[in-house]
Amino acid sequence: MGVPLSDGAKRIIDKKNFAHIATIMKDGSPQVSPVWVYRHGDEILVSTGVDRVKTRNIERDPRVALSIADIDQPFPPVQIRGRVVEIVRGEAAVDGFVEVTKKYTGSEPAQRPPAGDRVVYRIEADSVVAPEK
Amino acid sequence: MAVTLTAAQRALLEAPNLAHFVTLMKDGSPQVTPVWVDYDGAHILVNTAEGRQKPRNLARDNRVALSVVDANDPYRYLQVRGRVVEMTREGAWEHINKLARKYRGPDTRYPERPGEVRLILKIVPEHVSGRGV
Repeated sequence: MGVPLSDGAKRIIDKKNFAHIATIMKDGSPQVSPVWVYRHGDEILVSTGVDRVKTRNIERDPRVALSIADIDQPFPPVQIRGRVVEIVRGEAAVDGFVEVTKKYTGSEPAQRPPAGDRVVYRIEADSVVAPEK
Repeated sequence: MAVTLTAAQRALLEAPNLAHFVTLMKDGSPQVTPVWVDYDGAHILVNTAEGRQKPRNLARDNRVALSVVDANDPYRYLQVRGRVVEMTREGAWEHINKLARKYRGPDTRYPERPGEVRLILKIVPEHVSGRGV
């Protein structure tokens, strides 16, 4: 099981802050990109398009790191290291896209994307550095 | 190979947008944190301090990545992969104060901590991508 998120980590993840997710390329070098993030309890979820370098990287090496800075008070940030325990695909990933779109835009997406266009990464944290509150 | 940034990419780095900066841990997994960032015409500059995780990681493996989102338009962002080609103490306190003025306002000084040795990390961008830049 992963480590629990502090109240401060939950507060910053639950706001409309971008997460920056780092993955490992085939040659071992790092890659990082901004993503929409949400959570179910202590599980961190990232919704993204299916055809992305990061998805191929995670399929090869599930180790990831996330950095999230609160737009109103960037420091101290949330820093997470962990693993993608599942790449969710199909309708369940589209449900995740709908959920995260509501979080960031306040409304449902204009149209539901085809199953097959979206993935959701389920991330278990091994290390969390974040404000307590 | 080194890549020259476009005017729009430079502008994103010169505005007070945070970068999320990845280094590699000993086991090859990624670590990512938000940092202040600057551009000197050839290198992306990050300022850190001796003894922290980032310089320890970089002494072992100089491959890095960073991503920057435009604070005024989240659909504009920059992703960079590259290498730290130099870590220097020279001018590092002046540089952290320059960054403090950029990110926190013209009258700001970075708080000095006894014994802290600041370092400038000079990053050569090798792969640059993004959206709207």
